[in-house]
Amino acid sequence: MSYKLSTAGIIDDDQIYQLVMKRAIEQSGMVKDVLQFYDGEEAIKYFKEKQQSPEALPELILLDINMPYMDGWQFLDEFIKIPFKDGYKRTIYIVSSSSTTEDLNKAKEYEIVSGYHVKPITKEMFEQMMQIIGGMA
Amino acid sequence: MKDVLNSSVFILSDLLIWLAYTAIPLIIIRFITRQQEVRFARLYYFFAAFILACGVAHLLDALTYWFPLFHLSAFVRAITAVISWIVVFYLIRQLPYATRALKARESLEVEIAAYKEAAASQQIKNILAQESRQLFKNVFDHSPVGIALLNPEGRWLNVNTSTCEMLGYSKEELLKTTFQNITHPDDLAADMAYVGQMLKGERETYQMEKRYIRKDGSIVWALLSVSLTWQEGKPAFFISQLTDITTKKRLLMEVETKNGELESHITRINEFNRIVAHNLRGPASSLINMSDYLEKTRSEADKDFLLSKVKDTSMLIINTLNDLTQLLEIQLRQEKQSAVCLFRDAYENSLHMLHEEYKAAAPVIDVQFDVEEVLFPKAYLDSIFYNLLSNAIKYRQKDKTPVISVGTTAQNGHVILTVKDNGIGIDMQKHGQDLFKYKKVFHKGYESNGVGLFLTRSQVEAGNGKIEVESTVNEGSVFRVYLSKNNLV
Repeated sequence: MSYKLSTAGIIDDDQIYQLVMKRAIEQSGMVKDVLQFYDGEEAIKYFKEKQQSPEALPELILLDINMPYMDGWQFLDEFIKIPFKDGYKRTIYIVSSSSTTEDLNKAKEYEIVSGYHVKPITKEMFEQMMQIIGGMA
Repeated sequence: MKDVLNSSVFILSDLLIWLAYTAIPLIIIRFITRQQEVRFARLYYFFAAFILACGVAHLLDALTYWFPLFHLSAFVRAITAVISWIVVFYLIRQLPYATRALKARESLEVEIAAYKEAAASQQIKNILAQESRQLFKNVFDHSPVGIALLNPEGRWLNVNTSTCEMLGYSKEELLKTTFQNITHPDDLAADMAYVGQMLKGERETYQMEKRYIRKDGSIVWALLSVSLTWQEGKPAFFISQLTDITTKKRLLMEVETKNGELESHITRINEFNRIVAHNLRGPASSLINMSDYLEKTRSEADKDFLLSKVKDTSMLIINTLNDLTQLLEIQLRQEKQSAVCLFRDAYENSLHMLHEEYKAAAPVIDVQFDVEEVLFPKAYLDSIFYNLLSNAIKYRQKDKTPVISVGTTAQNGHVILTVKDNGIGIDMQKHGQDLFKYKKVFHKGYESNGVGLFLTRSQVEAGNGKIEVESTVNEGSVFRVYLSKNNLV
């Protein structure tokens, strides 16, 4: 079985979502590894540490907005500033329970964000996401 | 006999002529002195003298019948001769002027006509001036606008009825004071700045909205228009016009207040929406995704793990719902009436509730309540103290004795409650915006749910106050609660 992506990262403080999403990605057979971060601070620390090693960095990032210590927006603000080694390609999706216009509009302000999915994640939404990932390789 | 008769007629005639010749100059002199302006006055006098002299000559002729007065008679005749020639020469000299005066008669009539016209127009002017004075008086007396004259120092010189009614003082009372004395202290500086510019000649008029304090202590809002009258290069008096705009101002302020309320309502609804979107929909979505997964999975480990989370997640939803209910009750201020609260009571109550934490941390607390009491919902004040003190104790530096100062001060009609600590502080750059938001936590390794400061802010705002923080990492934090002056006891 050939993977389309080597690594995906889930950044979310919700443990149920973390497990369910991880399993769904694994079962799709398109991604080799899934990295889990339980808040923005933890995630940004990892990205900073590995900024020179693209092979260790997730190519797909599923980012929650509402998290303790560092929320999704603060994560993005920090993420943009990291001088990654050339050749690090990534796709960032926001996956949040919020469907408020405030959040949807704010997401549009970030060029780096490719899409916005509102929880709960349905089967259709997940398949669509995987299709895009399939096209990314 | 015939001789005697002749002589008698002669003497009588002479005397009659003398009397007539004396009467004529008297009449002439009388005429001249009665006249206000007489042309050729000197000629009249000479002529009068001439006739008088002729009369004296006739008198002497008559007297000569009894006394031989030839010498005197000759002398009088000589004088008469001299005077008569003076008259002749004078007449010759004055003749051209006299003819001119006569010729000017027509032009004189024109002059008279012009004079009459001028007089008439002056009369009209007087009438107009009188009328304009009357008009000004009418405007001044009956204008709905307050009109007042003030000297350059600000003393009232004259005020109309409207001014008196507006300011609530009688005319006599106003004339004894200055505008400065009855201007609202907050508006005095601006007004005086304008007055200064006017007196320096830097501006000709000014207009401002300002407040006066009426005699009964109430405040009246006026639209003030001022001009300055100068006399001989010096400021003479100010003319001020005052329009009462209190009603307009009150309506405007009501609209502003309502607007502010509306905006804060919108802010609250947005916040409510945010909490629902993240903190309610979040765990609810998880439960849905979980049940989908539980149907499919065969992993017992996953099933156990997920089922163990069901309770936590449901509790999260219930807790958030409880917080929202509490928030709404605070915002609607249900059954929370303000009461006179002693700061010390609130402080001691919260310390009592923090008994365990207090024992563990052994903080040094300095307490100074310059303002002792406030009108506020009692439960909220207790809760505010509890949350601020609990944070000050909880987020202490491990290797330092917590030093906390708690106090109140009065400032610009506000009561400021300050809670200062020497704890670990908050990275304001990172978290400044989220400090008082729902379920935002900033420090790992501390038991916190991110609700305390959120509710504290809601409680402060429900009492029309605001809360601010100043903080430096590893140095400490200062929380300041500004309670609105309406809450002053």
